[in-house]
Amino acid sequence: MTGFGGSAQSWSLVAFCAVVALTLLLCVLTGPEADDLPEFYTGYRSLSPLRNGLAVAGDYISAATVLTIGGIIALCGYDGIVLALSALLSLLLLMFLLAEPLHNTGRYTMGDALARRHPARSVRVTACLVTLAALVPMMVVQLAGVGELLAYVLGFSDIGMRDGCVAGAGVLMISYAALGGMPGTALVQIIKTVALLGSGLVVSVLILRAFDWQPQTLFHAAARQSGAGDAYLTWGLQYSSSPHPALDMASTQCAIVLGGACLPHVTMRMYTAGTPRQVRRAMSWAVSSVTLFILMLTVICTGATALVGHDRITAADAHGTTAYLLGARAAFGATLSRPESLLFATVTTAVFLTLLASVASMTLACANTLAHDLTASRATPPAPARELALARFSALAVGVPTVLLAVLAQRRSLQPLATVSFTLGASAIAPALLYTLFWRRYTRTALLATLVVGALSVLALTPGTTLVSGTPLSAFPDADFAWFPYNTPALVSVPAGFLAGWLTTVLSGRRATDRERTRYASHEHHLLTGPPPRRSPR
Amino acid sequence: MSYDVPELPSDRPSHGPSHDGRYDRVYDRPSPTWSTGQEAYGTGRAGPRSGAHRTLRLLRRAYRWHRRVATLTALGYFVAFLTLTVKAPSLMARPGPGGLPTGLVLALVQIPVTWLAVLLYEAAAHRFVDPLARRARRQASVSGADREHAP
Repeated sequence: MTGFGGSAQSWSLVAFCAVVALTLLLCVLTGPEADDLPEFYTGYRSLSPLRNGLAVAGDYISAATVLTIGGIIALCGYDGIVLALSALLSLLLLMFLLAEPLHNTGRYTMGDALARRHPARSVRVTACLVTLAALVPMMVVQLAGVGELLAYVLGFSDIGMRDGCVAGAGVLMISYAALGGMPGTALVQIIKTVALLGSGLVVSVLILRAFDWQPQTLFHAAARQSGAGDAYLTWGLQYSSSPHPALDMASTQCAIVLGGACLPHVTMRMYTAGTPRQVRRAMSWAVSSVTLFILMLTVICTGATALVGHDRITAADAHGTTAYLLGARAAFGATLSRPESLLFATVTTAVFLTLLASVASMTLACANTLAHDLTASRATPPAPARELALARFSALAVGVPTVLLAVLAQRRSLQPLATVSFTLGASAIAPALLYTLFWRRYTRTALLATLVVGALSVLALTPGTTLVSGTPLSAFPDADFAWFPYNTPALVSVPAGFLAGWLTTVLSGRRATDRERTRYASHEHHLLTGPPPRRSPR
Repeated sequence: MSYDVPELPSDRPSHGPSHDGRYDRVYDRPSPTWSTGQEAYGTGRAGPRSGAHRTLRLLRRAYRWHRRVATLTALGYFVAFLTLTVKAPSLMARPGPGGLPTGLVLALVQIPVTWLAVLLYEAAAHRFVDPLARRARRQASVSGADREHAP
């Protein structure tokens, strides 16, 4: 079932092709020179705060936000809105807590930020592995989403076509990352954020107009159409089948709040600003745009339920991932005039670009960490031209297996994979960054323990959760091997990550912690005031 | 010393001349409350009582308060909201303004509050943190330049 008329489909196809051609061209044009390493990694730290902020917002609004959280808002109302708010809070906390210290200590990757205090090859290699483990599942989610979105919007159901779409999107993401580097992907992100916010604003205004500009009418209509009545506007619909609804909700929120903004493809944008003040400015723009987007997402997805109804949303997709598009389509009324089809094509194109751009940024983050963290601690670091070639090759090396995984993962529930990413961010990356930046006594062994214990506990617990098996909406609905009766592993893995770091530090003895304290003191000036301002190399 | 405040005593006898003209902003001038009294005890600028060290300590404290207040406020509101949602569902389901349940109104209010929080954070950082950070950076570059000139 596609639900969209022929003219909307053909306009969408034209718009997709145009956007792909245009962004690729821009990416090649803004891409770095063959031996220009700082430009590939950070774009010389020369992006203005507004543009940098839009790029951060673009990185942060991934397909998981638009499609997954949108679907939960449409189907479960209140619970989805709370999820969206916790995603927003995560970015706000990144701005308040980590943005400036990260900018001050990091150079190109998360490994740099960690290795400034603990310069060791083991730290860099572990950071690289954790980055890959956190981002590859997320990339699979996005790429599989591209196949689903194209099949839905363009109206084909052939499996081979879907696989072809995923492969095509994979080629695009690798080219964006390898050719454009940081400046290129930043540009794609900026275009995407502007397209998404602009088209979303038009659709939200149309939906609010349909309800006489009364938000309460919209919410009551959605509650009527949701089939759940007033339960749609209160807590618990999403967790109704769970044996421990309160704990499930708490651990999901905890994973998103701590993990969402710590993922390396978001934090790598902290290094592209020039001064700590510019980072703050950029984050203000980013938080403001994401807030606006969350507001629009709420309006559009509750609008989808109010206008289309719960049954048609679940008929299109059991998890409601197409709710954003259905809401946008319904906002334009029953028949589309030509300008309306064009506007609707903008909405679908913005979502398409969202999928492509966020997956390109994640590829870039993986490629950077592979090329930089694995070589930077060698006795003789490679020449810039060689490291750049290595980074481009790494984009390919990460991209190809991800595309294959995405082809396999299609038509399954993608929620476990997204959960792995967020929970890894919350259990390994968040404690490692917080301790490294703010705790004086934190030792190198403790850093490694945090990363390893946090990551391993997530990877060990996830297969046992109810997201993977045991319920009709699981990834494997026919099997039941769930032994951990919650829907995320965060309940155990987040405390495990934090405790591992704390215990290892406390147990490592007075002398070790005193040494760390002195070392922290010698880095403190740098941490607080940032790197000395550099003149532009041009 | 055309930039110095006239009523200041000559506060840095040991390295005065080499700094001529460097204090071109208000917050770079040694302020009488601390420099005249404490500077007499310490001899080197890297010692615990020197200006650079003190600025760093002030900056650390400013950053710490700034971060703590902002984070705890944001996190506190959200945790309180979640606790109420789970522990007091009847309160959150009670009709609030506009006929919507109170919980939903409290959730939607977070959106404008976020914008406000960003504005407040920026203003506070501009007022309390940025001047100290600039002073610390400048003092570091001055002492670095001195070290280069030293034989």
